[in-house]
Amino acid sequence: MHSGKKVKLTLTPAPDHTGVVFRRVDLNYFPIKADIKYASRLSYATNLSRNGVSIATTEHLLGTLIGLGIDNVFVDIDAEEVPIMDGSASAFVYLINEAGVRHGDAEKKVLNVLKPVHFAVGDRRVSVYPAENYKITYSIEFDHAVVGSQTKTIGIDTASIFENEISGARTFGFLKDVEMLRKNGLALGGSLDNAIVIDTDRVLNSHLRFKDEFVRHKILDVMGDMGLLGYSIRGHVVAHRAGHEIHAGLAKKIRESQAAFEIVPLSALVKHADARNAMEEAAELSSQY
Amino acid sequence: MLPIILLFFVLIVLLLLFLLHGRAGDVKNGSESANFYVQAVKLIDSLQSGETAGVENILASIMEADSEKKEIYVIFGNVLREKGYIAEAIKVHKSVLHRPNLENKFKGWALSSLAEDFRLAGMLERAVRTYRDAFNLNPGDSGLLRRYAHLCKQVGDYEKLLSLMDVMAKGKILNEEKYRMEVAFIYNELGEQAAKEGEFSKAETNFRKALKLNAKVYPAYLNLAKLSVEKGDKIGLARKHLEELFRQVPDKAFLGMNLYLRISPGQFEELCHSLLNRNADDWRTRLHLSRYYIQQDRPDAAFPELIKAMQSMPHVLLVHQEIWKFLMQYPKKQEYLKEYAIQTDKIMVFNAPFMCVDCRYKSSEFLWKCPSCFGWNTFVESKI
Repeated sequence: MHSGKKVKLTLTPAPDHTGVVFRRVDLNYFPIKADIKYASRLSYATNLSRNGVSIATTEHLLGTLIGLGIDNVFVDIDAEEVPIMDGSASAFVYLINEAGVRHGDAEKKVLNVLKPVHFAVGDRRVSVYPAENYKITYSIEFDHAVVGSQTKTIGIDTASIFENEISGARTFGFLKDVEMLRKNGLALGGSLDNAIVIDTDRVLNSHLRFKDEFVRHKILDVMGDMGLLGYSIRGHVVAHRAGHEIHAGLAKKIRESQAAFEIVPLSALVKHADARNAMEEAAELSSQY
Repeated sequence: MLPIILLFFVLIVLLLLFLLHGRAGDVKNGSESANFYVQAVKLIDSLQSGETAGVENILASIMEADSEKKEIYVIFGNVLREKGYIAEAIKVHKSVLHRPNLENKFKGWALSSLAEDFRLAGMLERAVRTYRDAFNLNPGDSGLLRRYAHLCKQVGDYEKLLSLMDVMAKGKILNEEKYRMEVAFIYNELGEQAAKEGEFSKAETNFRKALKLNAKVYPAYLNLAKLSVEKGDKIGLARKHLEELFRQVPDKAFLGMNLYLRISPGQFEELCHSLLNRNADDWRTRLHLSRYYIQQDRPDAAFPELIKAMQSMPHVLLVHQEIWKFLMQYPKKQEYLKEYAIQTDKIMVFNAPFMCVDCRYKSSEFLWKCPSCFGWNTFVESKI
C-alpha cells in the first residue's frame, strides 16, 4: 500500500517448530522470523527488520495466521511490504482456506498467561490477564463524529469467529493524514478500495462493513502484533486507545517477564480446564445433594 | 457509492423483470409466484427506503423457495461482497458458475461479479483474468465494461484500457467527447510509462497522439517539454511546448511555470503579466510572480501580488504559507504584516478546497489524476 508496487506473496508449508518466517525472495530468501525482537518502525504499521532487511505491514497477515491457528509457515515475498489487499484480512483468509491447511505432527503449543502484564504510554494502554481462552477487549476513542468511542470484547475460540467477526474489518485513516502520508511518499497504493477513509464529517467509502468496523480492525491489529510472541495466547488482552507501538511494548514486556507466562501444549490446558470443570461439577453436585 | 447504486439499480430492474415474468406464469404456479411477488415487494420497499440491512435475508428466502432463480444468487453474492463478506461472495458466485447449461450472457455477468469480488479483495491478478473471461462471454455489457476499465486503470494496464475504450465508443457507452478525453489521457499515461523505461521516442509519439486527440490534455505538453529538456537539452523546443500549454490551457499554466522559469528566465515576468491580463484572478500565476520578485529582492513588487492572490483564493493554505514566508524574510516591514492582518479579517478560510467531483476525495492541492477513484481531470476548486 505505501510503496504502490506490485508484490508476489506465497505461503509455503514449513516444518514443525519453524514458526512464521518471512523470506525475502528478492534477496536470496533472506529469512526474518515473525518475532517481537525484530519489530521496528511502528508508527503506521508493524514492520520487521533484521540486518538492514525489512518487511513492512505484517500485522494483518500475522493476525490471520493466529486467527486461523497456523503456527508454521514460510511467507515468501518479493518486496519489502506485505500487500494491503482490501485493507482487511478477508483475502488472506479466503486464499488460505482455498489452499487448505496441513496438520503437523508436533503438538500445538500456546502461551498461557499466568500473571497480569501492563504496558502504557500516557492514557494509551494495553494489558494481558490470565484467562481460559484467547479473549480481546478493545476500546477506541477518537474526537471524531464518525468514529467516536467504540468498545468490543470477543473470544477468539475458533477460526470461524475470527473469519466472521474480525477478518473483514478494514483499516481506517483520516483524510488529512492520508494526504500527509502521500506527501511523504507513503500510502501511494492507498485508495478507497483498501481502506476506510474518514473526512471531517463522514466516511468517504459507500458504507461500513460493521457498525463498529473500526474497533474490530484494531482487534485484528492487536492479534497480529501479539502474534510476534510466536504463539497463540491463552489470556485476556485489554487495550485502550492503543496502537502498534503500545501492542509491541506489551509483547516485549511479556517476553521479558518470564514468570508471567508459560509455553505449554494446548492439550495440557484443555486437561486443566476439563479437570477444573469436573471439580466444579462435582462441587455443584455435592452441594445439590 | 457508485458500485452500490449500480448494484441496487440492477437489482431493482431484475426484480421488476421477474415480477412481470411471475405474473405471466400465474395460472400455472399461483402460490409460488404470489410468494415471490411478496418477497420482491418487500425487497423493493426496503431498497427504496434505503434500508439495506435485511436485504440478504429476503434474497436468501427467495433462493430457498426456488433454487432455480440463479440470478438471485448472483445478486446475493454481490450484496455479500459489498457488505465485506468477500470469501462468502466468491463461494456463492463460484457455485452459480458451476451450474450446467448456462447461457454465455448470464455466465459473463456472473463471472464479472466474481471478478469484482477478487478486485475488492485485492486479488488483482485474478480479477484481471476473470474480467477478461467475462468480457469475452458478454462483450456488450456496459456495467461490465465500466468496471473492467476501472480495474485496468487501477493496475495500469493502459493498452487493454485503450481497446476497451474503443468497444465502449462503438457501443455508444461513451460519447465522442468523453472518449477523446479518456483516450488522450491514456496516451499520456502510455507516454509516461515509456519515458520511465527510457523509450523516449515512443514516449514522444504517445504524448503527441494524446494532444492530437485532445489539445486540452495539459500533462502531455508538460511531459513533452520535460522530455525535450532531459533528452537532448532542446531548450527551444521545450519552451515551445510550454508556450502551447499556456495558450491552449491557460488555467493550468501554473503546472509548467517552474520549468519555464528555469529554461527561459528572461521571458518569465512578461509571461506572468500576459496570463494575468487574461485572468486577473489567476492566483497561481501571482504566487509564481511573487516568488520571482522575491528572488530578485523586490519585496514591494512581490507583496501586492501575494495579497491579490489571497483575495482571489483565500481558503488555500498555500497562499498564506507563502505570505508567512515572505513576512519572515522581511521582518522589518511592519506595514506588510498590518496589511495582511487587515485583509485576513475579511476572509473565511477552509483547508482542503480541491475535490474530486466523482468520488468526493478532497485534497489541499490540485491533482489531475484522482488517487482514490483513478479518474482524470475530475478535480474542481470548491469556492466560498
